[in-house]
Amino acid sequence: MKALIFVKAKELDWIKPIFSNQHLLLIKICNKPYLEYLVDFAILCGCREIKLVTDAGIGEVETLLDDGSRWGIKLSYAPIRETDNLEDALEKNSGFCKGSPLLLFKGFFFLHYDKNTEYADFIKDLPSGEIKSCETGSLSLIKSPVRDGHLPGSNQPLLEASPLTSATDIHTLSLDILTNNSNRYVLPGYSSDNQTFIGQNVIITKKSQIIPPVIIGNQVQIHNNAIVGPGAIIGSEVIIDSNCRIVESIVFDKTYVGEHLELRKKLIAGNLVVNSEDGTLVRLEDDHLLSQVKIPSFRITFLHRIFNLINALLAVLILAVPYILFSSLLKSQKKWTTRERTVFVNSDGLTKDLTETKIQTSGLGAKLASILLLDRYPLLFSVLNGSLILIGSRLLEAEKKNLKVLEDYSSYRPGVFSYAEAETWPEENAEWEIVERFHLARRGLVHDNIMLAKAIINRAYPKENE
Amino acid sequence: MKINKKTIGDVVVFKPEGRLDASNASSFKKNIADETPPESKIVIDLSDLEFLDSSGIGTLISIHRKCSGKDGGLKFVCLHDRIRQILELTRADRLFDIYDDTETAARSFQRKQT
Repeated sequence: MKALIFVKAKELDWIKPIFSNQHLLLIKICNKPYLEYLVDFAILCGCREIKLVTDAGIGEVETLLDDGSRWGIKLSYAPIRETDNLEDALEKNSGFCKGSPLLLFKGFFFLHYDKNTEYADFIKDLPSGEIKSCETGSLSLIKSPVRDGHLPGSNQPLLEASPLTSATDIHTLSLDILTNNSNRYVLPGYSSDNQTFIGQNVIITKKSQIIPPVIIGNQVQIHNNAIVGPGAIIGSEVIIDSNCRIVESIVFDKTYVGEHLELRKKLIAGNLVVNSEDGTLVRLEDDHLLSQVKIPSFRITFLHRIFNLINALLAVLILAVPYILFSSLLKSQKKWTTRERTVFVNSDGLTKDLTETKIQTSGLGAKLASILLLDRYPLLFSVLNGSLILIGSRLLEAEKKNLKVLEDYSSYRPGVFSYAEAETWPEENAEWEIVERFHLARRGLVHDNIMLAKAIINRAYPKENE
Repeated sequence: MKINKKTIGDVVVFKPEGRLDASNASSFKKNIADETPPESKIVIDLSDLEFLDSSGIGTLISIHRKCSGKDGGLKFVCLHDRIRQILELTRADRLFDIYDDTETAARSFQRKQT
């Protein structure tokens, strides 16, 4: 038997404001990524090949779940378009779907099951059609050609579907699993009593207290006099500072919980607090209370910064005199125009005012000024103060529509020159994002130097776009 | 680069082998353009494509744009993991219809017409 997991990104829209830094399908329920529950259940049903079909992005999911070899199965992935429906998805993956019965998970919902139960025989004997469903999804069996089966009698194993539509659902479900049903699922961490699960590299100081039921992820620090539990779910890379109290609450990955903070029936992700009872969201701006634990990628940023600074400084010094001369000359000829722009300088929506210069390239002086890149000269100062890099993404105007683009563009890093310019891709077309994403993923000193040289050469010898 | 060609009804199936990068992107585009008029029904089987760079993606987008229309279109089949990851990384997968089976991809044009 095979399993196909079909989820559309729009079904996950409600999660975005809460878990903006995480892939939506990897949201953790009782410290276990959502998709792993489905994979576990599919394996219990006897599936040895599972395919995830989604338009919600696959990269992070693939990084975590890989090819399924850690479960002894084959896990594969297929992107679909935003406009595709289930019928399209099944057609596009017909090669995978044919040949054996297919267990189809459609939508974003939680499936309650019991790892101690044998599901393979139960599923095998079912007729083709829907097995369980709820408001947000369903589990179905597709047999082709349709074969008769028999409906289960009174010995039906535990199998229920429940909708996932809010942070409150995540909270209720996670605590229910931890408190009442931890023996039904494979949960991460070491446990000797099904009440306390502890991950790797967890530091619990002597004066702190752990009161079951509790589940703690990897790389967690719990400081003096902190009381964790009962009913506490602590993610990975979390710091619980001294004198905290965490009861019936979930602290998601990479969160710092400041001293003397008491959390009851809350869901915490970075500096965001969600009240589990009414779903209200509050974002705390005080880093000493709650904040995102940041893990810097020092080597790359440091080298890039040095590279950018030295090159920008050299360019500023070398081009200072030509800039003064040409700008005065071309202004008098009305071939030099400037305008103020407010642009985004990172994916968090931070903005900066910049001066954009345009040179009309008619006449020898204007052509020379353009070849010398003097229109970009004012932007070099933004490299020196760290707002821009020399080559990166295109400058995006600080507008609402672009803020929406940035929501899904965490690698956005604007530059004096853009990768699209280096590749002579038309910047006015939305496809510039494709080339930028390609090169941003390959950023490195050598790579960026080559691309910068290409961008500069393209300015000197412009080509017609094909 | 070697490009195999076959037809299924009025659908032309191309199967490039090797690398699609800056060195051969324009010749690949020219080959496809020579073989197919605008708004053709094209399927490109990428199972034997070993490498794809930004120029290659640009070429695929350009072909896609040229053959998109009332009757025509471009579909991809049999992406192996490396190529799928590049399309996913650049979000180019949002533009393309990707199938895991050549015959189904060719048949899907008929469904569009009906």
